[in-house]
Amino acid sequence: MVLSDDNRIRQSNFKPYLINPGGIFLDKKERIYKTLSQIVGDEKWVSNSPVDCWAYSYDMTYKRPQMPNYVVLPKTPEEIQSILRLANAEKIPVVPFTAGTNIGGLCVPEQGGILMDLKRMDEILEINEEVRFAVIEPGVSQAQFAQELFKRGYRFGWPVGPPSASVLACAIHHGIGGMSGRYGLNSNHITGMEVVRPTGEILMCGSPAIRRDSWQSCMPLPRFDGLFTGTLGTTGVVTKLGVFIPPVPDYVHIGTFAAENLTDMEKFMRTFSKYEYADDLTAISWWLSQVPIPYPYVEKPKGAPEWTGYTVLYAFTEKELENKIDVFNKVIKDLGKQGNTIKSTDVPEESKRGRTQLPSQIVGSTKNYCKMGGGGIAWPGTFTPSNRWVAVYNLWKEIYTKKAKIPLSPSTRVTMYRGCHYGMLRIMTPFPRDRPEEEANAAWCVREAAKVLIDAGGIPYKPPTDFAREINKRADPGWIDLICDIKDMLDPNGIMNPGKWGVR
Amino acid sequence: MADNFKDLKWYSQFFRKCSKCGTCKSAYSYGPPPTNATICPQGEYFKLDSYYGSRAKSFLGQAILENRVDLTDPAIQEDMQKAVFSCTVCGGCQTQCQLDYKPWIIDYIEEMRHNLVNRGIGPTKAEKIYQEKVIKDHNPYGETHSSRFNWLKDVRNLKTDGNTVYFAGCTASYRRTEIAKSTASVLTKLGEDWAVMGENEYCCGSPLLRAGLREEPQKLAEHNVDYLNDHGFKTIVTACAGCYKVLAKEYEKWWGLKLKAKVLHTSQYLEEKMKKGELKLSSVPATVTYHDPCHMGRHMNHYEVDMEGKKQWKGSYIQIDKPGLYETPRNVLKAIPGIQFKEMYRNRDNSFCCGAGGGIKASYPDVALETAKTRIKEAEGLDGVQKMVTPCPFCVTNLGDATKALGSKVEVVDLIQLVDQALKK
Ligand SMILES: Cc1cc2nc3c(=O)[nH]c(=O)nc-3n(C[C@H](O)[C@H](O)[C@H](O)COP(=O)(O)OP(=O)(O)OC[C@H]3O[C@@H](n4cnc5c(N)ncnc54)[C@H](O)[C@@H]3O)c2cc1C
Ligand code: SF4
Ligand code: SF4
Repeated sequence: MVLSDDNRIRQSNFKPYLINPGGIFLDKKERIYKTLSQIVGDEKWVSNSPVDCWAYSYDMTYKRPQMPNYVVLPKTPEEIQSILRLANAEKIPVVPFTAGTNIGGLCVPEQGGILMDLKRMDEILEINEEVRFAVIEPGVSQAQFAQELFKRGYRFGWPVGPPSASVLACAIHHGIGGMSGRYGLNSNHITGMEVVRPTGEILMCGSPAIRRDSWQSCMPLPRFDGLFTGTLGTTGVVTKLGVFIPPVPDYVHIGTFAAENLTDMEKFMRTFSKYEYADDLTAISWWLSQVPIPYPYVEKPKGAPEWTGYTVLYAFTEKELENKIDVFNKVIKDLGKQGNTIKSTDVPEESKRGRTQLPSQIVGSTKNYCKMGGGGIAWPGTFTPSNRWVAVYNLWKEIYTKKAKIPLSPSTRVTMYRGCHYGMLRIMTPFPRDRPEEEANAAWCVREAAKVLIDAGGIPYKPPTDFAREINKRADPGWIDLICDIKDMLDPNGIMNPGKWGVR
Repeated sequence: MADNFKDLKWYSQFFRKCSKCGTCKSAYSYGPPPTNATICPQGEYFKLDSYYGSRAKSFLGQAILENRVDLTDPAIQEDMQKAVFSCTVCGGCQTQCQLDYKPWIIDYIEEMRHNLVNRGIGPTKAEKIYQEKVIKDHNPYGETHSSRFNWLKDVRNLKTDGNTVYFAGCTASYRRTEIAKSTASVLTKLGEDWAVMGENEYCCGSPLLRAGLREEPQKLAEHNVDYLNDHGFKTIVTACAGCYKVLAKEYEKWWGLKLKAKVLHTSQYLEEKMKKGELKLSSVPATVTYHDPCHMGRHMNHYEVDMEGKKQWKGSYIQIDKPGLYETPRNVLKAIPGIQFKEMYRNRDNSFCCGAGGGIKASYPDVALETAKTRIKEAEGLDGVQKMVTPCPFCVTNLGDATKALGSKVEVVDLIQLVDQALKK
C-alpha cells in the first residue's frame, strides 16, 4: 500500500514505501525502523540502536546529551521526501545533520526522533567555470570542495571551521569565511537551491526553479531561498545548493597590525573597510592570539598590545595590489598622526600565510581554541555593528575575568563584513568536558555574554536554543508572529528540528 | 600478573578531551594544493558517526564508562561489539587529531576492547576461535605447531644458533611461506650467520593484543623473550610489520620485558647493509608503488607528552618526536635498479590501511576486503603501476585478496621478495 492519505502531497516523485512492512504486529519503533530501511534500501543505512544514537546525542558545546531514536542516512532527495512523509504520518521529529560542528547544539535532538545524517549525499554535481558557480550536495565537506576548486583556480569563503564540516550547512546558516570582507557572507553566495519541504514536496529556488540547469542567481525572483536560510534545519532539507565561486587572484598581501585597545582598532578597521579592499579584515584580543587560548584566565603581559590584526589583500594585478597596500599603510599613518595607537607589525611569513591557508586542519580541529581548555568549546558568535564592539567587549571582560567563579580568557575576535560597518564579534570559550563545575562556569559566561550582546544590538548567529530564547524575548511581536505563521505553513506537524527556533 | 596497561577510567582523562570536531574523519591538508582523502576504513564502510574515526571511539568510551547505554541488553551488547571491534585500529584517525587525546588513541581503542572482553562482550566469535588456536598451537591459523618451520625444509636445515635470529611470525610461516623463504634467501645471500627459533617460536601475541586480550599474549611474550634472551642472539630480524611492532615496542611497554638483542624489521636490516655498501642489487625493471603497513608506520610514531606539566600543562601532547618507519623501506625499494617508484596519494602518516588489522580480516571480512579494494584501486589510478610493494605478510594477504576480487593487474609483493629477486642476479 502506498501512503497517499495526505492531500498536501501534490508530487509523485517521492519513493513509495509500505506503510507497515512487517505486518500489523510490529510495534511503532520496529515499524518505523523497517519503513526507514525500506526507504533507503538497506538496513545498513538505518539504526535505532542506542549505541549509534548516542554518537549523535551531543556536540562540542555544553548542551546536555539528548539521543535521537533513529539515525538514517539517505542518498537521494526522493528518499528524503519519503522519510519526511513517514515522519509526518508518525508525528516524529526529524533533525538534519551533516557533521554536527555548528557550536550551538543545533543537531542535538530536543525531542528525539529521526536524525537524518546527510553525509552520503556528498557529490559536487557541477563546477561551472564560465558562469562561476558550483552545485553541491549537503555532504560535500569544506576539504572536498577546497580540493576540487583549487585544482581549477577557484575559491570559496572558507570558514576557520573543521575541514570535515559541510559547505552547504555553513552557507545556508550565514557562514562567515575568508572572503566575507570582499563578497559578504557565504549565504550571499547562494545562487539557487533544491529543497524538500517538511511535508515532502520538493522545490527549486532561484534560477534553477525556471530552468533546472541554470544555477546563476536567486535574483530577480522572490527570495524564497530565504525561507530555508538561517532557519537551523527547521523549515526543510536543502538537498542541492548553488554557490558563486570567484577565481583565486594572482596576487596577495597580508598586512598585520596592532593597537593598544579595541577603540583604536575598531576605528582603524572602520576607516579601512570603507575602501572594500580587504577580503578579510580581522582583529583578535591578546588571549585569542595565544595558541591555544589560555585556560583558565591569565593576565596579559604588560606592554603586549591588547589587540592584533590582519588583513588579506588579494589583487588580480600588481598595480591593484600596490594600491591596496598603499591605502592600508596610509590609513595606519593618518590615524597614527591623530593619536591612534594602531601600527603596522612584522610577523613571521609562516603565520601570515596561515591566514590564507583555509580550510585549516590546525584551526578547524579546535586545537587553537580548546587544546588547553579540554575539549569543550562554546561561544556567542554574533553580527554586531562595529560602533558597539567596544562597549560589548568591556562588558564581556567584566563577565569573564571578574564575575565568573573561575575567571576565563576574554579571547575575542572581530571581523568586518562587506556592506556596512558591522561584523563578527565573538568570544571563544573553551572548557574541560569532564569537569562539570567548570563546564557550568563556561556556560554561565557564554549565556551572560549573549544577553549583554543582544541588549546592545548584536545578534548571535547559528544560535543555540538558550540564545534563541533571549533573542525572541526581545524581538518585535510581528516578527515572531510571522515566524510562527511560516513555520505552521511549511511544517504543520512541527516535525523539523523542533525547539531550535524557540518559537515552536 | 603485573603489567602496565591502564584502564578505561584512566584513558577517560584523554578521550574526554575530544572536541568532536570530526577532523579525524578524513585526511586533509591545505598543501597547497589542498588535498583531501578518506582515512577511516571503518567509517567509510559503515558511514554512521558511531563508527567514524577516533571521534566515534570517544563517544563509545563514554557510553561504556558512564553506562549511557544498557550493556546488559544482548542486542546492545551486539551493537557495541560491532562498533568497537570492526575498527582496523589503523591509527589513520590518530594522525589527524590535534588535541591531547591524540597520543593515546590506539592504546585506548584496545583498552575499550579489553573492557568489553571483561564484560563478556568480546572478543568476536572469530577472534575467540583464533584465540583458542593460538593458545593450543601458538598460531592463529589452526595449523600444528610442529609444522611451523616446514617452509624451511626447502631452504636449509633447521639451525637455532647464530648471530641473528629470524622471527618469521605466523603469517609468513603458514600462509605466505614465499615471504619466509625470500627472507631466508636474502639472509643467506648476505652471508648472515642466521638462525630460527624452531619449535620455540610462538605467535608474537599481536592478534590477541589487538582483540583486547591481556593474559594470553603475556604468556606468549614471556616465552619468546625468555628464549631469545637465553640464546645470545645479537639481532632479531622480522619481515612482519605486526611482529615488529610487538617485539620492538610492546613487550617492553606493556610487560617491561626487555629483549637483549636489537630488533630490526628486514627493511631496517637491509638499509643498514646498504649504508655499509654490502647490498649489491641488480636490476628489477618494474613500476611500483609502496603501501605503508600501519604497524610499522603510524603505530611506531613516538609521541612526546608532557605528563607532569613541565613544558605546557599536565597531559599535553607536544609532538611526534620520532616517526615510524616510513623512509627506510622506501629507501631500500628505491635502491633496486630498474625500479620506477610512484607514490600513492595517501602515504606515510596518511596511508590508507590495507583493511586486515585489528582482527577485522577474521571478524568482519567484508570490511577488510572492501578496504583493500579501495587501496588497490588507488594504486591502479597511478599510471603504469605494476606492483604494490609492502613489507608485511598480512598486508600482502589482504591486498592480494582484493586484487583477485577486482581482477586487478596490480600484483602485490612483499619488499623482501623484490630484494631477493634483485640479489639473485
Ligand atoms: C573550530 C571551529 C571554527 C568555526 N569557525 C567558523 C567560521 O569561521 N565560520 C562559520 O561560518 N562557521 C564556523 N564554525 C561553525 C561550523 O563549522 C559551521 O557552521 C559548519 O559549516 C557547520 O557544518 P556542519 O556540517 O557541522 O553542520 P551541522 O552542525 O551538522 O548542521 C548545522 C545546522 O544545519 C542544519 N542542516 C544541516 N544540513 C542541512 C540541510 N541539508 N538542510 C537544512 N538544514 C541543514 C542542521 O540541522 C543544523 O541546524 C566553526 C566551528 C568550529 C568547530
Ligand atoms: S578525535 Fe580528535 S580529530 Fe577526532 S573529533 Fe575528537 S578531537 Fe577532533
Ligand atoms: S583506527 Fe582506523 S579504522 Fe579505527 S577509527 Fe581510526 S581510522 Fe577508523
